[in-house]
Amino acid sequence: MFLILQPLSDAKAGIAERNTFLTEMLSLSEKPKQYFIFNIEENKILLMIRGIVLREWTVDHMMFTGTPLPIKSFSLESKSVQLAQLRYHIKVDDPSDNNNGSNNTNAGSTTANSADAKNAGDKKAGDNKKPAKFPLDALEIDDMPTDYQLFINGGISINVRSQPEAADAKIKNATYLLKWYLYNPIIAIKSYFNKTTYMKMDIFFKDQTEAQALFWAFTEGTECIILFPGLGDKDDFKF
Amino acid sequence: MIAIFKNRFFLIFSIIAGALLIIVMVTEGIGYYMLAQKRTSWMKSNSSEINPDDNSSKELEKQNENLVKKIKKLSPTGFYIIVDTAKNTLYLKKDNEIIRKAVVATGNGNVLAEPSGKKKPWIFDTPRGEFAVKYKINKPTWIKPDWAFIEEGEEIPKTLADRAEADVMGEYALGFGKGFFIHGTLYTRLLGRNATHGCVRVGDDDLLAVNKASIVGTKIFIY
Repeated sequence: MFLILQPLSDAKAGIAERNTFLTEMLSLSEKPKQYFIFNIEENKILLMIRGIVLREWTVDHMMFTGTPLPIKSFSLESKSVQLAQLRYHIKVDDPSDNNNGSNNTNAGSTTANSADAKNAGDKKAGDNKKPAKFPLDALEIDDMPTDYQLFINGGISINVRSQPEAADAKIKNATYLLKWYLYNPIIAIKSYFNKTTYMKMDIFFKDQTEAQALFWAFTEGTECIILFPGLGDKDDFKF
Repeated sequence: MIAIFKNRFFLIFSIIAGALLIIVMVTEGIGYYMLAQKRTSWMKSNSSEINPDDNSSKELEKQNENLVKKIKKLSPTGFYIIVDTAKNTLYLKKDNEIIRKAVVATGNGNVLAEPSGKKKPWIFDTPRGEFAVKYKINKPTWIKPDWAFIEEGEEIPKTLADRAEADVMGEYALGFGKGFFIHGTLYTRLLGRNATHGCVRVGDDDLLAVNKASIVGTKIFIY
């Protein structure tokens, strides 16, 4: 048990690691695409583009097991839940279908539905106010999963969890603890003998919408940099 | 306490629980020991032993400064727009400062099949990534694309005039490519929701501010 506590932060890497980090950052910033930075030591996830932060997540609990990997960019290969499964397919022939735009004679790029029709005249009253949520056939953040896995190239998997509902919280936590403290060490032993890369991250959000927002923003093919504890000082990865 | 252990059930339960605990601890210990071994060798192979007084160290520091400068050069300056499609929020920014925050409507993510089945289905997502304002239009007229008619179960018209629809896109439209616009709306109740076919719909006052601050070339970042 005490072997887990082997210090990692003793190895102060410094300038060379900052150099590698900045070189990777520059190469990602040169592309017109967004990228992620997972900073395990600081419990932060940054969504960036062109060197600016678009969104920041503060993770309530982030940990990893396995061999830390060098600073380089990885890309998201797949997710345990496919977005295609969640999409609504518009049925054109169904007259009762609210989203088929039967009222959409002047909709611009609008999906007109009964709500549209009822509220077409609320231009003045509703301006800039967040509406109360009424049913809408659309893929929205609330439809995103709160617990899922992200599979990144190089054998990395990220398990994203959020505070479960009270009813099944105990069962979920017990299953998770068994997996983390029994199953993962067995896989670690296996990977040690097979000489394969084994890296698992666990990200826990108290707020479910944060987990959903991460799922929404992290699309397949998006690149990321993972900063492991012990790679350098906090200041080495400031920009 | 002894009385509890005299009970056969509790004795068996304690033995099983104890055995399980030992198994978990031993497996965990071995697993993490092996990972620690791997980590230590990884640290040794990856840690750089650089003497701060060394020339190579100073050279690296210079390189790092240059890299930071290069990254900063890539970052947008002046006015630019950020759209969060999850929160349906638009941020008008100048350098690092938020000038205006607006509730918008973005793509509904729905799928519409092409009737012949020969072409790919339409997926009504707002595109993500980096874009720029390509053109600005005052009093825009919507030229309805094929999907708008298919979705309504109507025939696709043959003339451009039959596709034109005025006064539905607000006072201004800012095109950012492939038929996508930031524009106004009649349906203000849908602001804050994923309700469009991919365009970004903005309320009147916000649209005015965004239009005023933008020029052709103004960067738009959508995530």
